[in-house]
Amino acid sequence: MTFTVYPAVDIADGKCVRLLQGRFGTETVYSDDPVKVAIGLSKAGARWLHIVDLDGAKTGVSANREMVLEVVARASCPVQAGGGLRGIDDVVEVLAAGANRAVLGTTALEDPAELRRACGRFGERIAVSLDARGDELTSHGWTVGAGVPLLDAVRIFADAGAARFIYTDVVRDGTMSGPNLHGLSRLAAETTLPVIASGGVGNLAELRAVAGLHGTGVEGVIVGRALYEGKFTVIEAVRAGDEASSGERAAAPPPEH
Amino acid sequence: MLDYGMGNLRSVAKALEAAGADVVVTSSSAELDRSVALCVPGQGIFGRCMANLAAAEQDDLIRGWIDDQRPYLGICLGMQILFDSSEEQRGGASCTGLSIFPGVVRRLRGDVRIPHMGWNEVNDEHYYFDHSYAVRPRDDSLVSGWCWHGERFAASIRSGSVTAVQFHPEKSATAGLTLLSDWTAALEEAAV
Repeated sequence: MTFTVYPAVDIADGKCVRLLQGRFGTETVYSDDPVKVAIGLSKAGARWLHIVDLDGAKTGVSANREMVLEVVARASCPVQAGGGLRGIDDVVEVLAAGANRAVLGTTALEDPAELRRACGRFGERIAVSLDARGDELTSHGWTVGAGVPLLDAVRIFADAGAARFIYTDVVRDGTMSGPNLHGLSRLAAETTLPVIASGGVGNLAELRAVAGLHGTGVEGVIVGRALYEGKFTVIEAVRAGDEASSGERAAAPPPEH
Repeated sequence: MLDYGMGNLRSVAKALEAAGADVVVTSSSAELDRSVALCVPGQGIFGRCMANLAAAEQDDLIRGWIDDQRPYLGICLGMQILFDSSEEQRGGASCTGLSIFPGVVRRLRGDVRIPHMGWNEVNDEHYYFDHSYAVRPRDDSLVSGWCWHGERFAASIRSGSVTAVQFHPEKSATAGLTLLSDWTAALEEAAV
């Protein structure tokens, strides 16, 4: 399995945005057309997309679901979708529309029985968010401190049947100040499940550092602001991930579109 | 594109349109008969798929279509149903296939994660897979592309007017779009 770079498309109020440390009200708007942005990223060589309904994540009301489903239908690569999926019905809706993976966060924390049902039914198609502020998990689009220690949650979610984790260091997210490699390594050592890292990657060297943990169970990284700010391109990120995780230089030519 | 109640067909329709095709998604035999080519995508359980096809008499439609040497593109289940039978029979539904080609559909063996979900290599290109079962044709010469996940399995077949793939070209970026574009281009050439 190769290391996967997930370009992120976060949608708030119908716009493509990045937040700073997950705080609502700090958003930088990158486009009024998130669907176009997402399709562009898939055409630029992304092997997966990570798409989030931020309003849904915060309130549980799927304000941007239509846009998420439009991306799912039109992207030329697989898509993992999250934000505001608050139970099996929501998971069914996005998977039936063609999403390749559904991401649960708040639901996992508030309703472990529902998480267990979702994982039992959809297995590999479920990823569970570990949105951590330090050692504590947050919920509701990171607006609420859940009072659950990160490593306790890892055990509870794994026990419920989670197939993989998405670990976000909320303090780093949107800052391009470097990923939390220490926290990531500690988490990867704590679980046998694959971990996708998120938050803080600001340049290719930092992306390579995350990819270098591939052998410990870190199977991918989510990148947002650095892509939007032009710190690197999608194809540069994909190649850097391939090279750093395999220890050799990739020979594949860039995709032509 | 045949609509037989097996999952969302919109991604495939969009991808075929991007590859230059005029796509009609329908369950109407008359409408299908007016088409140049038939695409059968599909995700879900083999037995339920065959039951749906039989209930709408679309199993005979597909058999007749391929008998008449008309272009057929099968994706995922749309490939598997072309064979004799499948091991997949949740819910007690029928597991007999269309028997257009001899062979069976088997659950992937080996010490690997099932379902096989993710990118994998076929003929030096990468495609996106999402399946637990795979075709084992009795005649290996049908196979145009092999892939490995726990064991070697048929990722694509070609025979006469039939092209069928186990992976999802609509989610396989440039490689997938190229495959679909080549298929639609061949239809256009044949029509000229």
